[in-house]
Amino acid sequence: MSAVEMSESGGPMVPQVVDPIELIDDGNASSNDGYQGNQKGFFFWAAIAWLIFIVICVLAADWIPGLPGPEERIADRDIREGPSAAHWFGLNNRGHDVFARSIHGARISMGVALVATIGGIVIGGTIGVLAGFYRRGIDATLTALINIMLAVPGLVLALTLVGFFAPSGGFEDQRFLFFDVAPTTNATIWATIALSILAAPSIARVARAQTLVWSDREFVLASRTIGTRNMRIIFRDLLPNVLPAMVSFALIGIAVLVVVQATLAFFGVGDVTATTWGGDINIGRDRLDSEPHMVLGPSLFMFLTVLSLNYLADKFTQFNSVREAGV
Amino acid sequence: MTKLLSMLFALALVAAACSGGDDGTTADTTATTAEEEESGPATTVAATTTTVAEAADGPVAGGTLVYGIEADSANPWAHYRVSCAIACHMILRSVTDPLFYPLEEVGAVGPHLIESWEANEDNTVHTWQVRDGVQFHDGTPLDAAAVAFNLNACRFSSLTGPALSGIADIQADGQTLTITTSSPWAPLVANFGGSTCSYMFSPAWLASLPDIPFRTEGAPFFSEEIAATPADGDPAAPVGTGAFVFESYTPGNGNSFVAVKNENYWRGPNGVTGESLPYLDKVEYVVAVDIASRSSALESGQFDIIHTSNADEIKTFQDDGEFPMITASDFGATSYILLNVAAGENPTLAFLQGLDAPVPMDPNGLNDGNPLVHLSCRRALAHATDSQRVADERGAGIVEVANGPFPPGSIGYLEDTGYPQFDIAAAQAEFETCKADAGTDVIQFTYNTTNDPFNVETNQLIASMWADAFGDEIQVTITPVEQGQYIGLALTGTFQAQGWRNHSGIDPDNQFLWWFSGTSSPVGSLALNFGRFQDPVIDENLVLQRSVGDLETRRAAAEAINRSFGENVWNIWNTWTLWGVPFSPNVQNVVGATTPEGDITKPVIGGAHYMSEIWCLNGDCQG
Amino acid sequence: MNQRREQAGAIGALAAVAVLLLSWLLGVNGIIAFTLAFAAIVIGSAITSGTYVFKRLAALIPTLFLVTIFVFFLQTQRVSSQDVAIRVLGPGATPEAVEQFIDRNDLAEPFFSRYLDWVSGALVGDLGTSFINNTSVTDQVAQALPISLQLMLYSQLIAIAVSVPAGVYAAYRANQRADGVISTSALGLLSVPNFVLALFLVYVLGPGWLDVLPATRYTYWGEDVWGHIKQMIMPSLALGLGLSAAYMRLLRADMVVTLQESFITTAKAKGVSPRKVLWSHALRPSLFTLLTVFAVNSAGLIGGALIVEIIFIIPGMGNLIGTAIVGFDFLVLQGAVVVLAVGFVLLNFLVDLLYTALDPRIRNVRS
Repeated sequence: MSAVEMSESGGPMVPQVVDPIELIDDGNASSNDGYQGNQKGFFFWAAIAWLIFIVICVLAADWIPGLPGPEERIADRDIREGPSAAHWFGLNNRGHDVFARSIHGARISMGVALVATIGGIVIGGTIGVLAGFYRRGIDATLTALINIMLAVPGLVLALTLVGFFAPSGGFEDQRFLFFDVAPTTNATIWATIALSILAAPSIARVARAQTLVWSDREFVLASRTIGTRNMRIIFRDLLPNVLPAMVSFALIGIAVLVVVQATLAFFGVGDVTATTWGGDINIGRDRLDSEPHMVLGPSLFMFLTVLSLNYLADKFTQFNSVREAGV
Repeated sequence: MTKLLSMLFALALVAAACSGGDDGTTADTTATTAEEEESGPATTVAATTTTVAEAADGPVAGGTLVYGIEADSANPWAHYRVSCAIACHMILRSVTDPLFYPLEEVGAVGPHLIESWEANEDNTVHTWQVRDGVQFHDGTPLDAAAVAFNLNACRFSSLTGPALSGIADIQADGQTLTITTSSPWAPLVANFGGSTCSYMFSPAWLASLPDIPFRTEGAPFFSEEIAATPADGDPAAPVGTGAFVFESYTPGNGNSFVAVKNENYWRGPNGVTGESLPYLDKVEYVVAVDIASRSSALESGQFDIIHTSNADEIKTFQDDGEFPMITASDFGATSYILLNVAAGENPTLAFLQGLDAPVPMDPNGLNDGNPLVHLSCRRALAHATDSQRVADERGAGIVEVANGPFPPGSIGYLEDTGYPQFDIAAAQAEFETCKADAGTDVIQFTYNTTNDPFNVETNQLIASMWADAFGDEIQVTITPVEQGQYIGLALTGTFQAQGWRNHSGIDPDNQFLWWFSGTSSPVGSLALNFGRFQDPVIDENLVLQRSVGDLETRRAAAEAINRSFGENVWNIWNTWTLWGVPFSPNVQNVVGATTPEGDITKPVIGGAHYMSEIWCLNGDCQG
Repeated sequence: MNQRREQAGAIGALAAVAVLLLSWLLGVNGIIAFTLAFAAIVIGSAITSGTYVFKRLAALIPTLFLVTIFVFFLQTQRVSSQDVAIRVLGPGATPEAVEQFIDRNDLAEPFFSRYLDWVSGALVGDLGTSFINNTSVTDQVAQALPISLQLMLYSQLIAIAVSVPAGVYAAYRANQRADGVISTSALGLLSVPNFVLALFLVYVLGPGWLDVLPATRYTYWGEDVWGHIKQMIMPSLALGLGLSAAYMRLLRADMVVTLQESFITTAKAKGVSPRKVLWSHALRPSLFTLLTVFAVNSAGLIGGALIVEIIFIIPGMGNLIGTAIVGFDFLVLQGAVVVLAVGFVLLNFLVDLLYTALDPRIRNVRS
């Protein structure tokens, strides 16, 4: 049943998430069936390398020598010029280097997904652990909450939430809580929050299921018997055991949210002036048949990133189940 | 997907051109007369050298035409309650007819449902002869009373009323309609040559609609008789006089509006003009919001004809040459940057409202920090905007740079309006004055755009030109706004600068409401003069062009308006909208519409054209 | 006795599916079809597991209530009624016209009275009227839903058709080269967002390049069967390929385990041909998992079709919802979301029933 959860948050990414959760839920399925055994093969290191590269892009894109800025017009070149030695992915509608934009685009595309995943884990983890630990009334209430969130199609929920919160321009006070921020930044923040809320219910389900399992274990029951405080049990006995499943999940979660973020950008939701993979795909889309390089560049970056994350999540699940099997 | 958003943008902005009783645009077409010296964003029928020859046999009846339209336009199709964008205009043009047809000749309209017309000397009493023998689809005859009913519905509607507020009285007698205006209104007929209120609907159908103004209790125009009848009419099933009869409508992207041949069309074999219209058996308008999808559907034969104002797409069709296409920008809308200049007081408004004290334009000081209230700042920005580059890069090099609200071919067009040319040095000089006027070292403002990626990119390009010219001393915050909120910001004046498209029309008189200082309400309340400017020269000439019938005087007045726009830079002009209508080679005579008397019309209005004279080779539009 | 009860549950579930399938083939009103399907499921499962079903049913009511109130709140409160009016009236909106619009549509009423109005209508099947096109929301949903269900069904068929052979083969060749190729491509396919897949499908198969399939525009089954099939291939692929990768991975993982179980070894020892072992002995238990995921994913697919429907101009739920969100047409959005939420809940019931009816283990746990 757990297959439902992330599929909802994932919206269009339904399929991606189906199986890793299944795997997490009954770890035996994947304990002995790795494609290449459990050794870290070429793909493993390639995926790690790519993600390191993306992390560098996120952190240091502005300081990479020779890399044009995302809004920097390449002088003396035609707009939409095709790929060349100097500009690997060619130029876009406004004469910007598509390769440079793909690198700069990592910041918001990945950043939003990462922060939203962490947000989702915090919100969803809290709900799930509390529901699983206290059970009864609290469980019923929180489960109802989760069900409500899950019953609304993910993308619809995201579009509505962002529409509800994000500023609409004009003279309105452009603030986020107590901080003065540009309206575009505000839109990004709210898009991130919407994504966190979106990811929360499915994470909560995983956390709840795991908590239910672990809190019936002898050592937890023992702690209870000797009168340990609930918070202490949750933090010392439960969390360390529930977390591994959530981390595997988080890797998948990032992959899904990268795509959802791109989808939202594709819908013009969030900050459409920002450089993001989804936004750039959308910008180039009308000219896919004449200048496909505008779409191919950001698509490639997004594809490799999501692929790496999926692959690593797969591997991580395997390690994890092996470890668990050894317990 | 953002195309969905962009269609709503288009819907919204084109609607601007229509709802105020002004008209969509007209585009010139056919290479028949020499509009050439008027200069031309040349309307071309880049057509069909191959297929025109085959067409020599003359029109053939039969066939179903599938038309890919850009938006699910506003149902209801009742003039008094609709903001009509191009898709809506296309639908209206099949199920009903306008009172007049705009003619090829600049500033002239020809007869259609109105057969002849005249006005008294001071243009306050207008006598129109309604064509005899015309019937609505429900069998109701079109007489002067029916026309009066339609016009009154528009007049008393809170949405379409303001544009017609100059009408004091309408009297009907048999086929003779007498309209009295409260002040001289020479170009009255130009407001009924394709605007939404120029389309006639069956009074029986209109009266059955639940929200017809006559049902408003307590209003002076309240009709007990109508209020007593059941309000059970279907607003989605228009009953007009047109060549096609409504058959079905399903709302939503991918769904369609279907109308079938009207066997009793007044211009048909059973009609009164001795013609044999329409030729098609059926027209089906399919909503296809996304332009890429719409084009592919034409290319793969799903659609027989589509329309678009996406210059890239038009260029692609032009280059491929596989599909004949009409391109037209005459009388089209202008893309520009709306600037909020609300400041000081508005005496005109106070006068109109009968107040003693002038109305403050910015009572809450919301527009205080806007540097664009200073002429020097507006001029600096205009000088720094390379509109040609915008046209080249964002308009595929085929749209034309605008220098005012009147595109070539319209009354009031000027080659040189005095609008600031692209000139960095001049821009920088003005910018110094601007900084002094605004009392700051850094000029800051927000620039709204819809969240459609195409528009965002265009506006980013423009903002980057300003940054190129003024460096760090200008800080423009581009703010994408959700489509649904966008028009509201303009109406209420809650913006500093905002991308916009408007002012298509067959006559300068169509623009009266958008530019008059009396419609420039304070920030916070709804104003049709979105930029909230008050220009005595424009006011005076708007009134002048309305009061006299002489074309030359009117032209001079319109030119004065155009120059005043240029000098005061109320808006930053970008480009004139270009429409393209590509179609399958089998489709014939898309733009050859004539009046019953044989006069050649301006058949394309803002991308919209007439449907009744289209025919298909061998009665097969798909080929 | 017990077995017969369980059969009733399965029959109820299957009847529900049959009703839904038949209704779109015959063009029956979607709301009626859904009511019938729902009734079939409830009756079937009531026979199967007695009061348990009614308890769960009762728990649904507050869920649906909260879902609707949540969506209604988000939608109605995110913009002012003036914004809604201007959005509908256009740039020519005058203060009087705005006021009339608000008045006519009761937009000035307090939130709860508007909500109650809506609920009382919804309970008798009247989901209200769209602001934008003045058409009944019930009718619009009834029009759009079958089309989305078709798209969903075709995607699932494609997913199954691709994933079963690939998954079985990969499991059979587990940890060998063929498995590596299949599993890696599945992972790759999983990493392509379906809107990107859709764009590239149109580019490659559409008029731009190969020109083998019509790119856009929905054709009704009743109008032109062949046209309908041709048109639905690309959107179904766009949605189905990603699904097939997910199914394939599940199936493979499941079968690898099954293949190591004793009954397989026994069968092999008895001399049953490898092909038969694979397809009949090993596949059957795994199909159960697949069936479950199949049903569960269907609910997600309806929502997930949003972009695909827009790219391919298919007038289904995705387009309905997309237009409604942009247009502030919140009654349409509300109606569509409620129907999807009910559908989601229905499918969960179905999955539960399938569990109960098909899997002996769960049956035992329950009892």
